Amino acid sequence: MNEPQSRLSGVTDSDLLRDAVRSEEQSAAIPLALQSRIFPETQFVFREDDLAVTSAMANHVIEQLRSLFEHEHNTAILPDLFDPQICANPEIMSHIYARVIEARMCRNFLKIANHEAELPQVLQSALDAANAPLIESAMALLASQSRFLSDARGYHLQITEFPPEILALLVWRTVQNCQSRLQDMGQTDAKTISAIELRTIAHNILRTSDEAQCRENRIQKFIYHAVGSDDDNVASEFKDLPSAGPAIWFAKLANDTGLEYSSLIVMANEPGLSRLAVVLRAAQFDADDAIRTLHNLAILSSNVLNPSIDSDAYGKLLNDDACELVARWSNQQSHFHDRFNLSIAKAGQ
Amino acid sequence: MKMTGRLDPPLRMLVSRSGKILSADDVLMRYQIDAGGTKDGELALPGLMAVIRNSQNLGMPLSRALTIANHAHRVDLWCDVRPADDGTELTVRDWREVPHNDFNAKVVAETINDEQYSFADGSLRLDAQQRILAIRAPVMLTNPINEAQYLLRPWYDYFELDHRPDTISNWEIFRRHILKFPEDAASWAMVAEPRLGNDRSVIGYDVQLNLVTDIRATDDTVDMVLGSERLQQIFGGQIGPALRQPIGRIIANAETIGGRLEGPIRSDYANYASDIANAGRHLLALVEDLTDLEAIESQGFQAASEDIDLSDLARRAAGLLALRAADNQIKIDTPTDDEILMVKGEFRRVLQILLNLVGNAINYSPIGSVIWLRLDEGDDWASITIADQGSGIEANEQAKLFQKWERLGRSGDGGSGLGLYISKQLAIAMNGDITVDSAPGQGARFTLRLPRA
Repeated sequence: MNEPQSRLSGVTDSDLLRDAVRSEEQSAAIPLALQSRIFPETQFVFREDDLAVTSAMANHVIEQLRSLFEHEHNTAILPDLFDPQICANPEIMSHIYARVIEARMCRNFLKIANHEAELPQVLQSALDAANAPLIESAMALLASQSRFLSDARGYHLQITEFPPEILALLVWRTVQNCQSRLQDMGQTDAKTISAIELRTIAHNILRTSDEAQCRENRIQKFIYHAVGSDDDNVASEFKDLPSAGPAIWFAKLANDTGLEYSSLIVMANEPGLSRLAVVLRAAQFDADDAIRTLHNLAILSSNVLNPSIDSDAYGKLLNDDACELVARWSNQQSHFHDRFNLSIAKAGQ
Repeated sequence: MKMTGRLDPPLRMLVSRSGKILSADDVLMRYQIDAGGTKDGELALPGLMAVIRNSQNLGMPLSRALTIANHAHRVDLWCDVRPADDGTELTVRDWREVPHNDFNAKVVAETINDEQYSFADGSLRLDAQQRILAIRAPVMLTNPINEAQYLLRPWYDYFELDHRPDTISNWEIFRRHILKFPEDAASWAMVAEPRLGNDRSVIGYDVQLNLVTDIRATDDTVDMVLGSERLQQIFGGQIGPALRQPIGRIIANAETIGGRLEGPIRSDYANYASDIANAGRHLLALVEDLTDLEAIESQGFQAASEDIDLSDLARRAAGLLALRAADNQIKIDTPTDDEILMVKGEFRRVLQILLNLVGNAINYSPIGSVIWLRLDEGDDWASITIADQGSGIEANEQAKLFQKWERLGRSGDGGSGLGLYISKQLAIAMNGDITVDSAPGQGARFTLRLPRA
């Protein structure tokens, strides 16, 4: 029996149809997959723009990985080896999703800033300080922050700015994904790279990475120098969201509570912001500061503060209870990280 | 003089992959000593150790802020950590040393023998009142941790301590207590560092828990080990015997071919046959090990308690392994015929242990060396020590030696990683124990101790 003739050169109708159906199914599954990976047991409703931007950034991440591996390999590697499954991991998706929210908050910052200047007050004060390491770290952070926002506007996210743990996870997932795709290909001539070459490239990429390029690391370095400086203005501005700006404010809160930077940013996008209210109580914000800060956070994240959270309700929340809850969240993170680091170590062996 | 600011030149330290200090600038070494460590021992500063281990695991350079402290100063530092061929390099470029007054400076950190400790494996986060905020339980705990049991309780109420102080001062947390989790047999040594707030006051503590590895296994740990039913389900009572016969036939046929007993064949084919026979022997040894593992992990496993002569068993084990030793020109120095040392144990099991220990010694001894089998006795115990001239075992690896499937990174030498685990469990089942004493370059001494008859 004759096969029906293809209308497109080199592609049969059945291949094309199969690809089209698969593409449609995969596209339709992205929001659900994203939801189930980030919040597996909740009915959390995502904003469509968050989902779209997260998906676009994930694709950009995959594209960068392909370029990185090809650069190390000095030749082209089959693009099919780098598929979106590489990003289908809760840690990686959470990281990308948090950056999407963070970018939105940074864009909204002028709505709450103390002044019209483009820079947060705390960075402006640092640049005016007579402290060379502080100025250097502020300049490095400015460059990084500016690159992050500029990239985010184009739905891009630079993997060179990823924290080392996330970058390692991403690289080893790429190796595993490529290896399994290579196995599926069997002995075909289409192979362009061996499993051993993949692992060697992964080791090279990780060995030559530079955490000092990572934006979160630059924020931490800035905080390190600012807290250590004798400039009281700089240190006192950290707790004030309109002065510090979201990136520095969240990083400082993360240091004070033991919670992760990205987790805190995701909390700002949760309906009602009740978790962040508990975190502020644990961090000993007084009632007026806390309510004002929560309102500002709601503006930054285009969210709505739970109307039941007011000074009275906040005041009735015991600091010990808040600390216990925050400790539990922090504890869950550290358990997760142990398993996460172990899996990276095993993958790299 | 107070040291603060950017350092030029920076401070440096080189740490081996096993966590021992290979070299360090004086300032860093001072904090190491103050924290109870030694100059060439394991790094005793938990913050530094954590970032170094992280860098090793990731295979990546890291750049982090952290805090170290001794009885007089707290230091906020910024360090760069980079994996290198011979270990991990640590460089400190920013250093902020602040004297603190809230600790009793008269109390000096107790120095401990760091060979007692393996790499660590649990941690606590405490608030300023020393209440537990978070806990990362060591994976080898018998019972899972129940959060409600520990959150916001003072650590000294939650754990069983080696000694309970009359009053808990700030300094108490730096005393390196030996503690136990409730209802668990393993002992842990604590190493603490303060966490500091904006105003540089102590807002809490991070505590690292290191397994104390020289604690003899107790009934609880034996129960923990014997409690696993998984292997029994997988291996079953029938699979082992069913595998032995075909594997035995593979070995016999391969040896026939390799020995050219059926006629001449090309030498490379004969070598292949020898490889097949070796692989078969490895498989057979694995079947034997799994059978033993199944036996000792079954509930109610008991070893017989007979009066046996340890000296006689040592000579028998040496005799059985004499050919293997001779292949490597290794001499086994056994107790003399007139030595007798009666112990309580099961003849077959003690012989099995000695064959394992002497066999290992042969595997890891250099050609032309000597293995000594030496007897010793006390009031109610007797022991035999198997000493070799091999490359020795690092302290942190000694802790892992007796773990199931532990190969210490070796592969391809025919071992399954079960031999020492099985031997230790057999010794424990006979109310005895096996311990190891070794150092890199100084050989290893395994001692089997049993009750005297």
